Amino acid sequence: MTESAETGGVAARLRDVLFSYDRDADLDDEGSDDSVDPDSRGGAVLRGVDLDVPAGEVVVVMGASGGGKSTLLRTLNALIPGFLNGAFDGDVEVLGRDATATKTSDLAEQVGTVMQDYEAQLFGTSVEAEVAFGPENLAVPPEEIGPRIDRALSQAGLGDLDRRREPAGLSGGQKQRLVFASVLAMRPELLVLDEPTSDLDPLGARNVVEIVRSLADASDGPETIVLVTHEIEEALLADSAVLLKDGRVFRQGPTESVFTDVAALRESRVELPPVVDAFDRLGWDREQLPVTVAEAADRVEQSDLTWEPPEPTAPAPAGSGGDPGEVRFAVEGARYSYDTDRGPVTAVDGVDLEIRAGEVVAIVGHNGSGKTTLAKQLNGLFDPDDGRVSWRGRDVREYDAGEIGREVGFVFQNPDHQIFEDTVRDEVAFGPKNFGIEGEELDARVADAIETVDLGSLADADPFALSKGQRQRVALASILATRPSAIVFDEPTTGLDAEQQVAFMDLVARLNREEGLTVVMVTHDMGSVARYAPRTVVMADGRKVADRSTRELFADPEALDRWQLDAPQPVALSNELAARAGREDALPALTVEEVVAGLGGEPAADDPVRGGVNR
Amino acid sequence: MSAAPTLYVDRDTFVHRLDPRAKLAMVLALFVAAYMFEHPLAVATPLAVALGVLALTGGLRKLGRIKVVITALFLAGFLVWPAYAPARGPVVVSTPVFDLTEYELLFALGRSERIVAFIVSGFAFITTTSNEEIVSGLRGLGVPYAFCFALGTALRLFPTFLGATGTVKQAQEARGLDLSAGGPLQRMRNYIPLLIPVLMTAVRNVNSQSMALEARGFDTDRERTFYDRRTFRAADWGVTALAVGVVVGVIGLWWLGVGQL
Amino acid sequence: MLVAVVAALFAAVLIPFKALTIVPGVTEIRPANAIPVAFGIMFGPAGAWGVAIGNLIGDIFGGTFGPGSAFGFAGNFFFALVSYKLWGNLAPLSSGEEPTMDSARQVAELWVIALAGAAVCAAIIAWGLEVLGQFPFSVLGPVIALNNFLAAAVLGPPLLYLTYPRVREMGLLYPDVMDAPALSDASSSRSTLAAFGLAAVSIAWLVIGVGLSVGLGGGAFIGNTAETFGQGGSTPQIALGAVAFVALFGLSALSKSRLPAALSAR
Repeated sequence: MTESAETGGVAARLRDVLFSYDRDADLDDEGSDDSVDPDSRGGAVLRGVDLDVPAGEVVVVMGASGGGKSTLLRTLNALIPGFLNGAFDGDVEVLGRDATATKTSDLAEQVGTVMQDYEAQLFGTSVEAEVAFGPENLAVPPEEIGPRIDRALSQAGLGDLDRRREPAGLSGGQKQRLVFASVLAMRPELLVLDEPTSDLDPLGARNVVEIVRSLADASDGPETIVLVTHEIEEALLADSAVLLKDGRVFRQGPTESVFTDVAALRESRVELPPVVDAFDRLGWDREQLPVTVAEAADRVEQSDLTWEPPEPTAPAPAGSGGDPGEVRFAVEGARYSYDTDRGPVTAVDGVDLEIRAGEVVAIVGHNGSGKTTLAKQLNGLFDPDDGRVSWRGRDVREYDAGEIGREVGFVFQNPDHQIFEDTVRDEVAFGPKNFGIEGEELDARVADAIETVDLGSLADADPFALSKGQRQRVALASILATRPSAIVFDEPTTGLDAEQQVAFMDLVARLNREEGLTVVMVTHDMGSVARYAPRTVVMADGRKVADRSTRELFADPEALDRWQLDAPQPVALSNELAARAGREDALPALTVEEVVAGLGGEPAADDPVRGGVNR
Repeated sequence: MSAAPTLYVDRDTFVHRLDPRAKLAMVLALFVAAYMFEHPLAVATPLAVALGVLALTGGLRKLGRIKVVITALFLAGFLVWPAYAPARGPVVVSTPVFDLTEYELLFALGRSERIVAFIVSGFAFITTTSNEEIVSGLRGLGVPYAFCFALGTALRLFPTFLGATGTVKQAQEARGLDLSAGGPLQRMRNYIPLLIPVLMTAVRNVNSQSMALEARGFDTDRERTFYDRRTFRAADWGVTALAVGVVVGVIGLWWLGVGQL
Repeated sequence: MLVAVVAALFAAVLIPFKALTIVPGVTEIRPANAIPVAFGIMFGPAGAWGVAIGNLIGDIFGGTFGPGSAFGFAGNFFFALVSYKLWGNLAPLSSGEEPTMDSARQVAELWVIALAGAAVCAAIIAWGLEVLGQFPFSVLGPVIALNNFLAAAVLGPPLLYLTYPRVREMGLLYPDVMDAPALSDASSSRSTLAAFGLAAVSIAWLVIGVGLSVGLGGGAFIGNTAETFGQGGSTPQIALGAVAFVALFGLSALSKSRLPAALSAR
């Protein structure tokens, strides 16, 4: 793909592009330069973007939430200004065409688009029909569609999939790969990827990253790829990076140089790659900053630093409510199976587990490992087919739904699956009201819970109009208002950006430290596990395959590999450093701060829990 | 244990391999037969054929899932129809309140059997025809593309929303919602916390779905091609001819008064 | 596109609620029956198609797919369409404002609409199943009408209250999607007249259908199949349906929704 880059071709050229989702916005009003509020659609999102996308490159676009990344991509496939109502000004030229005067469905001949929500991008009743849909829309002759389907499915790593299967029955990762195949079958010259991995588990995300990598190397793939992502690992696939800030291009350059530009990353509120963060805190110069774990380990070896692993007694980074108290949850031989078209599937297969008061326990494992099913047995959402689950020594089945719900809260992955009232206050009051709380007591609890999640100023707002991060906090508040002594979280941070994730998990950690709340979290975010959960339970094929301190678990890279768990960068780096020093038994650092401390530096002085993200 | 939503039985039988249009022709023929016949023994013929197809294609097992529905409809029909039939023929049951004549009995039996025959015939079609075949079959019959697209997408999305509804139910129950609390009106109102999140999740999806469609080149005004390798083979013609024959035969029998009361 | 999503949704909402059943398979008391009114008002013809397709898919997945499905399709289509056409066009009841359900007058208007919609849906299905000889009109008609009306009257107002403003904010109301123009004064009075006609035809069809079915005006019980073609209902019953269908199509075409006007007046 380098030829065209050498000839200096430009795949897309944007000049002075302004856009607001508000049709009546005054785009000339450039005086107010206050940072864009992601939740208000009123202000201009793009405020004068000038950008050249070099042909033949993979370009990553990053920036803070609400900073206009996705909006920018939508100018490349002509969704803006053609399809989305709003106020637009400026010039956009894509592959030699004036995109501002082209319909999205026409530009689709040359520009392929993959978005975050794979459910919203699949329309067919079979895999084959799905992949054929795009070419059919472009009126490709039927005899050419067959070969295109073959090629696209194999490019997306789905060559072996039964083509008669219904998309609805595929796993999340397969669905997203099917979206890729469907778009690739249209043979786009420019591929636009808008957070294609945000809704996937680590395994699914890794597969998608591999597709992008192989497309970039393939001779018959799209020539140019533009990608928006929060994931640093994906960003590093790119040849060059663009940072957006306040609706403008703030910095553009080769990926390595942009991602070691700590000041620029901070200014544009982009999460630092953890190793960049660590070595910046150690005071290294920008030119020396490593981006990958391997580079970092090499440079430590070349330097005069020595790696001092954490002590076995080192506390968990986010702390916890003190010593675990009495047993709260006791799971004995729990078993649970689902009925499916292909016969019963055992999701949980004989699990024993004890969780004590004040603990923070992570339950991890890839999709289909049974972690969510196990968690839903803790408050009786599922009754085990076999075995017993008890809360405070009493079988969960013996509690009324009301009783157990009051003591054990459950926060679901998607807040939109519960929000229905027209104000935040009413939404939060729904749970306690069901549990018979009323009058002043109800008001006090509701106000308290809303205050705790820091939504006091929005108590009378429509929860539907809030941002995803805020909606997730509404969901948490609605559980907190029932004053439970334990909360089970089912992947509570999926779909939130890094900043929202940290804010949410910090809040949970605080409730655990200050109120002694028992926390069980089902998650695939290993960074959160490392930082917030002192103890981790690993599920695989319905069985509990590990249950130990998180630090010990992360000290065993082979085991992590076996269970398809990705160690976060600080863990990987410290394991690598320990291995090179011949200390395989050493425990890893779990956070950037611990890496810095282990290399003899001072952790940052701000809130110890907040270190991961730079604001 | 949650039940799997689809009724389609994934097998590779002669019936499964038929073109959906041929299957539809056959089902229509069974409908016509069940409709034209009146006598319970005559109505039993299309019913038996449908049951036979189900037995051959592995769909009989799935019939268990709607046995309550079938039984209830059969009984309802059987109880209702005597009141609407002329009281001809000898009285077979006599009570102080009403008399049931032989004609009324046979009439009611035939009608409720017809209801069951309709359902079982339709069932034989559903269990042997995948969603994709239903949609491509309709398209093959010349149904406008926009309608086929809507039906296909709805079929594709429905399991997603079904899953979402289940999750919403759990989320609200975890917050203490008791769906069975209160009288009939209250019990209906209890569904508001379920309905709204499901509806709004769908509404939220509309935007991203329409963007994705545009980006895939979808434009109902523009010329498009159809990738469909299905061909109407000899067996399909055979079955279609058989279906036409059945319809003609049934009408002939009706003309002759066979199978009537 | 909107149609497909709405359709999928109606099907999805319908199946889990199938558990609550009075006469299974043919009709059920189900919360999902409130959706045609709400979707009809918000999404207009798109909502009507969606509701109809959703009902069909409900039959396919519920295993009750048969000749009667065609009438379930048509019945639910008109349930939603009549709701859309009637909103704002019922002069003394209509406030001329958007259906946000924040006044007793709006709720009363919705109840009238629910009654007409429930009646037309019930009449179409009951008529179809009588013609097919599955059930007599007088048995099914009142049952379906009552089920539909109860669900729509009880759940319709809170449903619209909680969804209408949000759907409007997202710009997905039918007039927004289709850029439908507001009514002129001339067509406005005609619309009102046509709307009253629609409501009258809906309710009259149900009432007369039941009457014919139990034998009022026709002498004895209409079970005398020998004098009618095939196995269906009586000749008057078939004729009634044919006339009613023509009236429904005609009046639907004449009556223009008032929602665009309410929106632009905002």
